[in-house]
Amino acid sequence: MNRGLSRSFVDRVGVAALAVALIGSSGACGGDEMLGPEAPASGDVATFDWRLPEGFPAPRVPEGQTMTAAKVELGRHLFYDRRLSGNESQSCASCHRQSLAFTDGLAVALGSTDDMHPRNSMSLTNVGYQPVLNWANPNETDLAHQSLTPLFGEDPVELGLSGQEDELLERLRAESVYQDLFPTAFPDRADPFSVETLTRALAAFQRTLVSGDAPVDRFRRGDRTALSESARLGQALFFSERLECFHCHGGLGFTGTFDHEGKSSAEIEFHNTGLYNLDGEGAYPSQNTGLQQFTFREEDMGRFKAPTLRNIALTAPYMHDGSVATLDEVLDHYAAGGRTVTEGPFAGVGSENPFKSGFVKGFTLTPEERRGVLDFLEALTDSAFITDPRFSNPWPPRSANSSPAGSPVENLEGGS
Amino acid sequence: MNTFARLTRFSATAAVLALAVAACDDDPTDPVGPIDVSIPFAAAVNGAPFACGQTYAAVGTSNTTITPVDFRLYVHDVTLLQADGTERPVTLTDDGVWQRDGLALLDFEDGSGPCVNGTSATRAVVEGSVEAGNYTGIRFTLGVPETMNHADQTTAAAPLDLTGLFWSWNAGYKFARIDHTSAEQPEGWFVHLGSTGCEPTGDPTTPATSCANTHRPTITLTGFDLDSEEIVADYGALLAGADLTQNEGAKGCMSFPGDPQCPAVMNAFGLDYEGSVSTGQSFFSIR
Repeated sequence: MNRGLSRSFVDRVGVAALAVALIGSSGACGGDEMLGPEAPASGDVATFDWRLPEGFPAPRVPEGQTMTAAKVELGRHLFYDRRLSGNESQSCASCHRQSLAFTDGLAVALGSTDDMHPRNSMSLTNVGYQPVLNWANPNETDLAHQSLTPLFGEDPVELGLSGQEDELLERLRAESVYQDLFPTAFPDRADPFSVETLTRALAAFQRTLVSGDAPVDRFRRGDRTALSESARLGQALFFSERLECFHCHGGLGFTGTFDHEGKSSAEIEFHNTGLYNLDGEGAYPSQNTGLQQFTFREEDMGRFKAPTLRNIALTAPYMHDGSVATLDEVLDHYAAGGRTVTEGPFAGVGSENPFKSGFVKGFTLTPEERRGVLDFLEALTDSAFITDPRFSNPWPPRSANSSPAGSPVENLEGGS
Repeated sequence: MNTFARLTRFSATAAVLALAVAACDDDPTDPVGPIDVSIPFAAAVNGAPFACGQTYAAVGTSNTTITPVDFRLYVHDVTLLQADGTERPVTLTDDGVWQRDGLALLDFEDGSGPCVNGTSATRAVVEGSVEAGNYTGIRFTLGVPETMNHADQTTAAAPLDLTGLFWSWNAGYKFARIDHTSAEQPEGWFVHLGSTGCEPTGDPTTPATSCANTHRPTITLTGFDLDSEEIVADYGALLAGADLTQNEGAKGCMSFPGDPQCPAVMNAFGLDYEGSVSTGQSFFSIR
């Protein structure tokens, strides 16, 4: 009861005053975030223009967060800003490049201090429709919160900002562009520069990364010329019980893990595809045990999220650890009903993994059929998505008269 | 005899709390009511005072010379114990920086030298109010309570707003973060205590609230006088059974199963680990 009294006292009377007081007295403790959920901004909340592809519902936005054009614009600038790493060498876009459907082309991600991540950088294609994030993290359900891991995580170090939140916010405050963007995006905040506003802006931008204009989409909308005959054959195979691909990679998102505004409840799936079987009892390499890393349940060994196949031709190499180089080899893996690793520490017969999904049962393809499946997968590439200026680096190209930091921003476009 | 001679004068906040406690006290015979209490902590390595930038010899079974780079802990559920067995909970002061809703952060690093991810401010005391009494012992829990551990870190208020203590991917906080480097392990040997095996309970759209291994040891220390003594958290004692030249799995011990560096560390925290029962905590002592 005492606690309740004192809390409600603080809640009603003191939150704002307390926060202001703390900024003055304890800057070293990072106490300069405003408290409480984001208040709905007036005006444009309900009218945010998603510019969705035909037939696409809106992504579900977590309670307490709102989409506005100003937040998206701020988030876009932050996404491409190298000041969001401890040594200012990387931005979000370093591992999530638009030209590669927001992946990096590497087997596993390389952090700002050269730490190797155990996993492959995920595509951000339609990430706003993902009810759980990362390869197999059942607890990560909010893009705003998710950004804390690349920003501040230490095992491995990605952007390397752990413990440096005050310095980070000072860097951002010093940028004239942000002097406008932060207050415009968060007009109700006494101090709009905070970890909270930063993460919400990044989330808002990422939710706009909607891809739905691939040849496959145009074909579905009635353009019979959008898919070649070979791709149409591949499409039929993809959706057949013979290949079983669609069970885990079906639906609008080409993934079984999908959510959107108005959906009765989110669909969340994790599958073991027989990629490894180290001990004959289903073991995966210890750094990458999938869902089991969180639940500790034996039967969750090797269960990962089936990623979206939209733009899949752009996101090689494949699988959670980038251990499959090409889509052709991906088909080899599934055709065999699981991969056999013949030598080395990861040797084992994946097809005999006891936790393998029942849908990974193997198949045979004629050369023509294989070409068709590959052509269908290629037809999931949305060229407008990877060139859309709304998703591109907003900062001017580096030049002698750019900011004093020299190279604070990404300049990944245009092949540089 | 009252052991709390070191009482500080009432701050405005403490006064509000104290009045609230008095108003709700069911015991009309209590002549004094709550008093402020300040419980001193200290950090050490094999008995020597901890400081960023210092090196300490002969740590662990490997007799390794180490350079600490971090030393922070969360504690909650602080209770004082009287010789006759009665216990009284300490109502922690909400100071907006170090303590909130019964949770307190102890921060022994000052961000200098090798403590690069730290903060300049330090904290080596837990402050609150408690019924007056003749206290000879204390009990507290190491860690962040489950009700606070899985709340949204992007909006969390102090002392849960420090990114160095976020354990975001694992859905919680590092309850204790005590890190070092050495010539043998220049990239670091870290002790990160926290809940593991966390997953959502039913509703997949809410944060995790259930963890297989909660890893919140309850520490009980008796037979001391707060006037003249303090509670010491000794990193050397924590690592006494560990081979610091080894670094299989995670760097050091990060609380996950199957880590060869964890059994000795978890035992010293007083935690059972992978089927072995702790022989009792040795990390905290009275000095």
